[in-house]
Amino acid sequence: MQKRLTSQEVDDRAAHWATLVDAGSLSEIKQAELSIWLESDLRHFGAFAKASAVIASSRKIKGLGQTFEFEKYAAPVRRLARPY
Amino acid sequence: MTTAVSDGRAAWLARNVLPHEPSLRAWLSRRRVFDLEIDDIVQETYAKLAALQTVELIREPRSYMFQTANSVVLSHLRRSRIVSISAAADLDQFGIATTEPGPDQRLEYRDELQELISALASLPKPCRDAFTLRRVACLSQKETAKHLGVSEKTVEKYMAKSVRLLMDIFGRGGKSASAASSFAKNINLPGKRAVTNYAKEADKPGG
Repeated sequence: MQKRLTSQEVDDRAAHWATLVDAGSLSEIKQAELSIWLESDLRHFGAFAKASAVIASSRKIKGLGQTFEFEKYAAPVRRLARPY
Repeated sequence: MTTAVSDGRAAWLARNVLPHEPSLRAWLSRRRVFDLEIDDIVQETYAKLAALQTVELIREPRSYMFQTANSVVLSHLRRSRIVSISAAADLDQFGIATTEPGPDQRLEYRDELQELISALASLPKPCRDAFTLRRVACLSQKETAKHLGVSEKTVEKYMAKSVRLLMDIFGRGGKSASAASSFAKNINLPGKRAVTNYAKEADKPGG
């Protein structure tokens, strides 16, 4: 049996899969691999759903225009403490 | 293969569930029913909501989300088969609280776009650049790669990392994942612990 992934690892993989699906760059083999992954643990499917929701949410920025300068809008309150 | 989570459902989750995840986490932390693995509960809650046949009839998604999380907690308890009387008593309160809006609900109605912009501004620059080209300029992955002078694989990596970081920012209200889960661990009062999961503790590196 596969080792149970931590919640963080599940989120990592879900983000990657959802990105591939969104880019439309999944081969048939990869699609099958994704199906197996999603079905193997309810948490995988949940994290994938959340990642898909994040991508859907991010589509709102489409209206900003290409010259938008994010630096000007950097919010001081929101910083990730995570050391990447 | 059909997409596992339809665009419509992803949009519904983005609008109705994602903004409430921080308060769901806070609510789960406050329950102190037993040694809850909050991350697991949250992931399973998303799974259940994503798997629903239809969401058309859900009038109050926030409340529905909390009830779903509650049922996930109950099934975890049942599976554990070690429900003490005090834990069961706590569960009654658990049910009652489901429709109560948290004190932080007000914060959830902040301008969503402003929040998204702040979140994107906090991404590492390469991620943000790739993300902006894909999402604002609507370039394909290939075009984005060409524009940035990197490989498509690299663009893919930046995009995945962006999504991953946004998952933490949105779902946890900006708190880092590790900080959030260690917080959840520390709030369990010793007297309230109906289940002590020694196996999980032992699995942790350095634990």
